Amino acid sequence: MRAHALALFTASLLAPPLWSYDGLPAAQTQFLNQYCADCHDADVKKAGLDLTSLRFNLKDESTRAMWETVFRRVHHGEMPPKKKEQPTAQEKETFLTALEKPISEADAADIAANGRVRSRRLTRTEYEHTLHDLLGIDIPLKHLLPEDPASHGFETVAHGQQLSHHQLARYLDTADQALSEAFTRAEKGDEPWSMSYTPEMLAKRGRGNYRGPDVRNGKSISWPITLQFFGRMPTFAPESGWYRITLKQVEGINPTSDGAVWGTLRSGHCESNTPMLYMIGLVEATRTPRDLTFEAWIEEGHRLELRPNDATLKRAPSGANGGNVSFQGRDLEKEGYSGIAHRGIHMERIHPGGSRDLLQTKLFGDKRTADKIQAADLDSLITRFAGRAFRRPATAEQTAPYRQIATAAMKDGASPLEAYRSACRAILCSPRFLTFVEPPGKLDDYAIASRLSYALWCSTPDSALIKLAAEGKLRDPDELSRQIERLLSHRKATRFIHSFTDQWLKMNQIDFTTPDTRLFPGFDTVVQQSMLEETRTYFTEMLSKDLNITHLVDSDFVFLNGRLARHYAGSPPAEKKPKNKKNRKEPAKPASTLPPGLKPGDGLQRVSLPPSSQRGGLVTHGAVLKVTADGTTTSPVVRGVFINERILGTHLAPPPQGIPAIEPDIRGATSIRDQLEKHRASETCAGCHQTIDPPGLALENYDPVGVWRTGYGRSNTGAPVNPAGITPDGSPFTGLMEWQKLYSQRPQQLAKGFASHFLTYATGAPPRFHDTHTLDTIAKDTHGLRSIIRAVILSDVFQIK
Amino acid sequence: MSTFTFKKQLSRRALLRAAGVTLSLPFLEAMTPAFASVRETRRARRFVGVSLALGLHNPNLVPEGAGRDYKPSRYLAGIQDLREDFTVVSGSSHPGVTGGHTAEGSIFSACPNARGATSRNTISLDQLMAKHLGHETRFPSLVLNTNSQSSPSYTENGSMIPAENSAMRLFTRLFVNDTPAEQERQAELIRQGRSVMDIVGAEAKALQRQLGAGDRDKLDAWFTSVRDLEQRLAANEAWTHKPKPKVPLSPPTQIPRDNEVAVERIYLDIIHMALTTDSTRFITLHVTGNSVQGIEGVDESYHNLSHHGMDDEKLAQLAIVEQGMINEWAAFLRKLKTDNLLDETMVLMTSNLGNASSHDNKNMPVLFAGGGFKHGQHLAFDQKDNHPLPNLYLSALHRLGLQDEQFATSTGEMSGLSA
Repeated sequence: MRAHALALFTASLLAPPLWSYDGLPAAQTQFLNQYCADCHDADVKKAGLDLTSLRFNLKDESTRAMWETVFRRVHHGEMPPKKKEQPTAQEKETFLTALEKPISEADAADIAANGRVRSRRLTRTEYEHTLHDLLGIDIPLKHLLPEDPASHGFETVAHGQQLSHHQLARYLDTADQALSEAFTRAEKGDEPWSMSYTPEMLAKRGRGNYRGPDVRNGKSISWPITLQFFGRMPTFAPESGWYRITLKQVEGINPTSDGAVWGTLRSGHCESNTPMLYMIGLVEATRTPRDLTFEAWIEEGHRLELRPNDATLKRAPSGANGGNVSFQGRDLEKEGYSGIAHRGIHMERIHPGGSRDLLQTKLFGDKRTADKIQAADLDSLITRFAGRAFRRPATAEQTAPYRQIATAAMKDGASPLEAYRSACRAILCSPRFLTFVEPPGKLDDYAIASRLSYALWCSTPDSALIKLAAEGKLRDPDELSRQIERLLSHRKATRFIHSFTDQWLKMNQIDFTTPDTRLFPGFDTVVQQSMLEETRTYFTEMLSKDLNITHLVDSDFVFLNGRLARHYAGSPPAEKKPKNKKNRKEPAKPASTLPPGLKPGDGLQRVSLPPSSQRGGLVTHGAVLKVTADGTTTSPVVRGVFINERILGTHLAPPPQGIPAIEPDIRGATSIRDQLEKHRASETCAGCHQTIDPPGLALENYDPVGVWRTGYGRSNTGAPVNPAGITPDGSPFTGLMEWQKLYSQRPQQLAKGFASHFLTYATGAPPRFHDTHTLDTIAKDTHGLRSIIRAVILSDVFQIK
Repeated sequence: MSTFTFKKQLSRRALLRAAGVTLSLPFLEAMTPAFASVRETRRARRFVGVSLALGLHNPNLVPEGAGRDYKPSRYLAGIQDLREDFTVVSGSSHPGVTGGHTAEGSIFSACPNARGATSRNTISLDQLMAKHLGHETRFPSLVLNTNSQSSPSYTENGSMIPAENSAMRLFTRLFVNDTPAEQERQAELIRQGRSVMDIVGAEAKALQRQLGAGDRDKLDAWFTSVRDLEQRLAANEAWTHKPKPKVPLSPPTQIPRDNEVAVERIYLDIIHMALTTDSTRFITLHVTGNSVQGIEGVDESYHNLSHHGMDDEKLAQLAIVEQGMINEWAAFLRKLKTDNLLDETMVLMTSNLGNASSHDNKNMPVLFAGGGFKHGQHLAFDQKDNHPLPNLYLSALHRLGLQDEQFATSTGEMSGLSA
């Protein structure tokens, strides 16, 4: 065949090259000859693609992938390029139909034989939740394992997960640590601990500098003093563990215009050589005193730090020299500073993963305790634990090696309990535990239970799911629907919301950049944390109310707290230090900046937006705008790629080699748009950038910290922002609101995009060519977020390997 | 990606592979002759790769003029006492590697990555070295990070090796002897671990029968990992009771977390001791910390400064940080030189980012010292049409006596380095 084509080619150099493919009708070959061969032949080989050497061998995975690309590019109208000769609609349709069928069939055959998802492994997040649920423990384990690389946007995707002996060694160690915690608690029990601290105790002076709170009128008060570790208190945790912390009668002094003083409660050593602080929670202190309760993991020897944490607050002088703080002879309240007061702290050691009794039940079954385990129990205990760990009943053959481990340990003089623990350690390193065992074809009930449970709970199926699997009921769509509802309504579904939004919207990268404090002086930790909560709460609302998928691009409500509302309104920079003490004016009561309906003290609240509002939709969330910027500048390309891939479900080709990225310039004289125009003037770039850039351009009015702006440079006084553009299919928009209107009309596109992201996350592999049809069917008239999730789980794609 | 066939080339190295298997246990004197022929040809014994997550500002780094008569750039002016000991390479990068920060995984593997999305990584330079020559020391290699667990060191099957990111733990692992009781506990855990690995291997085999051909690759990774860990545990068991070397260096109890340059120094000091005690010979150090506000004259975070956007004030602060990074690297070279170790130790400093402000992966910063190469020069390649940096990696492999014909996308050795 190739020789033949070559002969033809050399025989008539002037005629277009002719070649043919086994299995592809001649008419389609003619289409390729006429519209593609100019650029994609052996000589020009544009983008590295030579169609003349590509065979129509669809059984070969990489060849099939090439043909899928050919199909996709023509299907989306990206090829042939606009300025080249175009096929008629009829020609295109015929060509695509003829191409689609054999590709889809070959793809389906491969899925049937080999499966779409191949040996997916637990991510470290899933591993931690799983061990917590299996053993009834609650210690952090995730950080003991290597980070999981994301592939196709998600850490759950099997393709990107690698294994090495380094990883295996970590599994051995981590299982050992988890079991050590579980067996120690089972044997020795939990010692209760609690402690109440009065304001006086919290102000106790130790060695070194004083950085603690002010004590006044029976209250402990923290002021906006920016010395490192100011606000630390001698509440040292007696051991690493979970604690419930109650701040009593928290009260805001001189609240800001949103009616509260915002601060943070954090834990850490609070010493200069170990400055890491761990966020416990936000403190919204209002005029009305109330108790605030937090639960957090605190390391042994760490203490609490409470301070106002609002970059817009007037900073108070420390009142002393050399890194000390003193409140002697001054009244910061009268001087107009904002502060957070409370009447003491109660700390209590807790076990959020469950009591010792629950833990013993998990480890040893009903009515058994650690001291009662006999050698005769080992077989049944090990079989039971293996079944729970493997997420399906374990056969005698499968448990034999683990039972042998226990027997060998007993021979070496171990107690029955120690022998059981050795077997558990081995079970937790088994590939039957660490990976999803899914033979090709339709999944059995247990495999469905696992997929479902990891999709919506990030953890192992509970006993109810396993029972239904044993009864063979999970392949019944009605029962499965009921289970989807049950799982989504359970508190464990918050794990899904965190894990999914962390990866899908890159919320886990919120810390990757620190906004330039000179350019964005109003940004602080409280704002960042509020942004994260805003996005998660909004997603939760979409999920629980089954809101239309168009809420990704636009909505008539948002979730705000007072601080975030003020940030989005563009808070004025703080006055750093009072310049002249004598002339300082008595602070005027600030006018409220709260949007109507927002109440101080209630944290994030749903707020209706007027139609003229610039906010609305997930794309205008501060967290999204922040993770798509670099802390200094924004780029329509970076945001455009994000919105296209994550929200609009557009598949983008990687950038070509050797094209330098645009050099960001924040001096303000030129706008990124002008630089981009030059880039796009080149024909090679324009092809993709006409798709990539428009959503990014529409969002240019938002700066790197999510605040509305009209110009570039410092204080927005540079080149004006021009957010206009044209969508890839030719609809012009003058700015974000028009762009939002256009895409609010496209629920089908948005639903398909979301369905494929969820499918990728929930199964551990991206949709295949053959799955397009299923996704199209779902997206056609299923537009509620919860409904889409249900439809994906009920689809065939979810239920086969 | 599909054209890259490491295994084939490795199989041509029959001699070394045979040696590698026999010597997976701690080095035995009796085996010396098997290595003798190789040892004569190699002139270097060690490799240290320091990688910066945030690049180096090229206008401050790349000197004017090429060859031996180059005029020192701003960053290099202060380390001219070492001029004859290092080479600065410009206009060089990894072919097919893009994706800004996501290209970190390719720093030492040079694996084309298609924007970090599709492909699987390949073995990194340090791990390839350690695979063949790492068995003579307590640690075949050290993979370190000043801050996080991420690393540019990858195993043969493309799995990232989690980095040690605690200087204290590193110091303890290298230089602090466990109590006899703890040694016994460790030995017991290792023994248990070995029997667990037996079962895991058997389970993977059983799964192979149960699952289709589609899972074969993944299960192969289980077999390899089990075998590697068994060997590693066996080697560790032998080392458990051997005393660790004592060093004239205090444990790093204080890590100045607001000064990444000082953190880099702490790690390089430990690395220096690891080399002088021959605890390991192959090391990567990934410098990723973001806090530099403790440095005089700097008040923004490192990542933020790297996105300078041509702003003069940011560039000035960035230069302070980057000069510090280079100076610490140079100080490390001076110590090796004093110890007469530099000639047999190759020390590289590079980054995946040639321009951190625009996330460009072309024109990577490259400073290369030691190893007995010809130095004292600026190898100036084309800034527009970059020279493959894997060529330097191939040169480094050859210098160790490893006869690979290719490393990743290399096209040959890097010219101008051999005396």
